[in-house]
Amino acid sequence: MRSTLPPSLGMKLLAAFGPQRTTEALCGDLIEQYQNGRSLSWFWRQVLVALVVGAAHEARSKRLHTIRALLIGYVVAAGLCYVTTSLVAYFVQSALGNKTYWLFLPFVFFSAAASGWVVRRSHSRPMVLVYAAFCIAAGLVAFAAYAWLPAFDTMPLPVLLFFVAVDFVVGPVGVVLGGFWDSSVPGKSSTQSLVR
Amino acid sequence: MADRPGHFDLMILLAVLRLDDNAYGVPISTEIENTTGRSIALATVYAALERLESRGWVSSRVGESTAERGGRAKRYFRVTAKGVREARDAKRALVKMWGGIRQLQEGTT
Repeated sequence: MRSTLPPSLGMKLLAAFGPQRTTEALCGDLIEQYQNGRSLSWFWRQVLVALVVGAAHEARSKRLHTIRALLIGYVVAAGLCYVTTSLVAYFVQSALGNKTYWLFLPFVFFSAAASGWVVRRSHSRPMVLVYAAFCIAAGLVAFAAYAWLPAFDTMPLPVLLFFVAVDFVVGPVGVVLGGFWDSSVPGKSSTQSLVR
Repeated sequence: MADRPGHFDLMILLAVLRLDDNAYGVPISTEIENTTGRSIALATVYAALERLESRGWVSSRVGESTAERGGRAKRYFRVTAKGVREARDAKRALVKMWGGIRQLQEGTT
């Protein structure tokens, strides 16, 4: 027998990234409908649509805030990533040689999570998802650009996989988890965000 | 040019008017689903309602929180006088456009 309450992860995602004004009512509606027999797949479809619609609405209605969020996120992520990976390369490259780049992954994740956290702290809730979508789009553009370079054809598979992991998994997941982590701070309401 | 309600906005306005005092997310989406036969996401209903509210066509108030909703309050919507005027204008314009179209009057496709 299934639980009468919908999955808490879905509710937490909505609470973390859903539009501030309507999320409470939407969560209540989802619980009500789920208890009236709606399926699990219906619930997850609703959560997904709510997150996408909320992020799209935010990006459209607050263009300047969106540009600022993307710039702040990018500067934080790129800066931290550059500093941490340079330090790793400086200290361990001589010992590990060319395989050092795999050690970069946790630092890339940390940088992405920190940038997601900063975007979440300084902007509205759905802006983290806008920023994560931007990261994926930037990864796609970077890949398209790499593909034009002559070196792309001779790039070893592990290096290619590393870039795929960074651009499409570690980076976006880090951003979302960074934003999600901040939303779980007890007693912190989104009205405390610096920018509305 | 002044904003005019789109097709979905109009559906929402009419659903809220029909539901009167019980117009919150679930019954509004059910009303539209029953009328159109299409499934719609609750989030799109709320996004449209927020848009309508920003134009002053609907107003909202937070209702009671109940145990069966996990303690979450309902948000009730009501069409304002401005919203009623917009719906009436839209109906007038649509009816005028409808008139004299042979295919529609005969019920053919």
